[in-house]
Amino acid sequence: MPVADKINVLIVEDDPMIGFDLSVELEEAGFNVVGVAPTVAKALHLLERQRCDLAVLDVNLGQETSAPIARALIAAGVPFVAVTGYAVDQCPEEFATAPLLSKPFQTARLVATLKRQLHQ
Amino acid sequence: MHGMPGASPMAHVSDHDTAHLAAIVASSADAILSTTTDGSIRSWNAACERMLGYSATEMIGRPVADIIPAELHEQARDIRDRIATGESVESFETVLLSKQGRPIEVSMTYSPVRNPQAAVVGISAIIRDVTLTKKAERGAAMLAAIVASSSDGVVSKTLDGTITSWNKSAERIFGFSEEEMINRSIRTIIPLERQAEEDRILATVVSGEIIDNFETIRLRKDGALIDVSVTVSPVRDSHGRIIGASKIVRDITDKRQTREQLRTLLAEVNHRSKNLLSLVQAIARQMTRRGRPLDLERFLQRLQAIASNQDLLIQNDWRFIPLGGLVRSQLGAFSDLVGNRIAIDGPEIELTPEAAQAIGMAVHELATNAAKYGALSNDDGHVTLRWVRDGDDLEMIWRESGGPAVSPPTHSGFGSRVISDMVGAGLDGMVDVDFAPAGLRWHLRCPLQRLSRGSIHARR
Repeated sequence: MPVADKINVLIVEDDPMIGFDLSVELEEAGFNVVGVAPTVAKALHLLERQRCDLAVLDVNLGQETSAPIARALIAAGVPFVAVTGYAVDQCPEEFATAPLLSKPFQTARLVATLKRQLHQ
Repeated sequence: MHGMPGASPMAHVSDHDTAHLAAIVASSADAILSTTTDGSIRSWNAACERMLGYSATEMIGRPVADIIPAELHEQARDIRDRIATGESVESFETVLLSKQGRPIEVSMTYSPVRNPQAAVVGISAIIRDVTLTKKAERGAAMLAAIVASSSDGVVSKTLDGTITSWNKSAERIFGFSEEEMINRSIRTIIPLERQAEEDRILATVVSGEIIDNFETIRLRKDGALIDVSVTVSPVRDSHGRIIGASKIVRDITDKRQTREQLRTLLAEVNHRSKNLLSLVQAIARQMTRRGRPLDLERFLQRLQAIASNQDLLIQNDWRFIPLGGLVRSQLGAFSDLVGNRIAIDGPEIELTPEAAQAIGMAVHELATNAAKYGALSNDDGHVTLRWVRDGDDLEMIWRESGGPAVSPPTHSGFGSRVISDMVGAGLDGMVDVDFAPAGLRWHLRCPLQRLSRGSIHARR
């Protein structure tokens, strides 16, 4: 399938191994991963330059949260799924309306959730 | 000390009057004695006997020094000399000895006794036992000292909330001085939205109940809100009527902060442990791609490599992992070779946990590969691992030599993806892996900013 037909997904994840694994898994599930961003700055940079249809956001990025990315995505009308190791009530309000997957999760669940977001 | 009324010479005294006065003295509830000017006892009433244990017959004619402790003899002589010159001494506090040798705290009033010619012929002394008063005074002073030096704020107030006492610690906790607070309302230190609390507190006190360690918020003079624990008890008068309340206030800001820190820490532990499980899941998934069976031994070795990172993180208070320590820990299985066949060199850099995990995994995979196929698989190969700061970047090079001839792998397994794609993407860097026949060469270049929390953490 040519890349142009694929759904472009941005992954925001600060753990290198988990980010790498997620990108391999989503590529395998048929998505085109536009990048794995470990920081807010990198994610916003990628969003400015790449067409993005969906995003997977790790809520906690070590030194920062991905709340600014969530705001940018909401403003751009790009749906996203939040993934976190925190309890739901510990997430910033930006994530209130997004589906939330608790780590660790199975790829099939993430893919299904992403597809549901896309069709809404 | 002044001339007392009645101390003047009595010009016309009848025998009848004398007998009457003698009866008054004899039956007085206060102990009254008299001496000659040289201190010999001349009269001793019944109250003296009750207080000191000696009878009049025993004492009359004896020196008054017999009922005075030795160390006070000189002081007693001085007083006697002053009275002999016509002075009076009122309410002089001293100590007398009872017949049993027990010291009794007394208050004495001395007056000169004059003859009809106004010459001083003797001394009279009225003695009051002040032992109980003294004891009460000492008890009160001790309680006052305890309150004053207490590290808790101690405040008392009337039933309408008017402050009647305010100790040093209350000054420290609230910033208001004692002078500022006495006669002011306790509501001064209660935030507006909590004023109703005071009504409840007063109602509880009036009902005779104690409020024990009530945690609330109070207002400092500077407008800051502070966390306090308050214990309020009713204060009763001698008839048992509740006339006010005493309040013990403890600043629990530290305690609350500790509690909050603990909550944050628990959330952090929750987050990190779930992340760690995700990491284990990711490794297992990547190791078993395309139906490959799980190599359990390699899987467990990789888990061990991650676990050793965790130890380094804890050693540094969960803040960073030193790059040198990380490398040595990941090469732990080859520690006997470090210094001879393995050369490690580079400045100390404090890595974030995420960066340490990426580099740690890469070093682990490189070492495992070298032991299996490369320079550490024979007896004379060498490995050098060097890193330098190059401007805003880290440059890290793993170089093998002297091992069996190297040929590029036929397929890209988990290990080779870790040392290239994973570490490169994860650190925002570039990785170059060269399977040169003379020995593998791995080169990582990535921004230092991705490795450390601000440049202050990266020092040589």
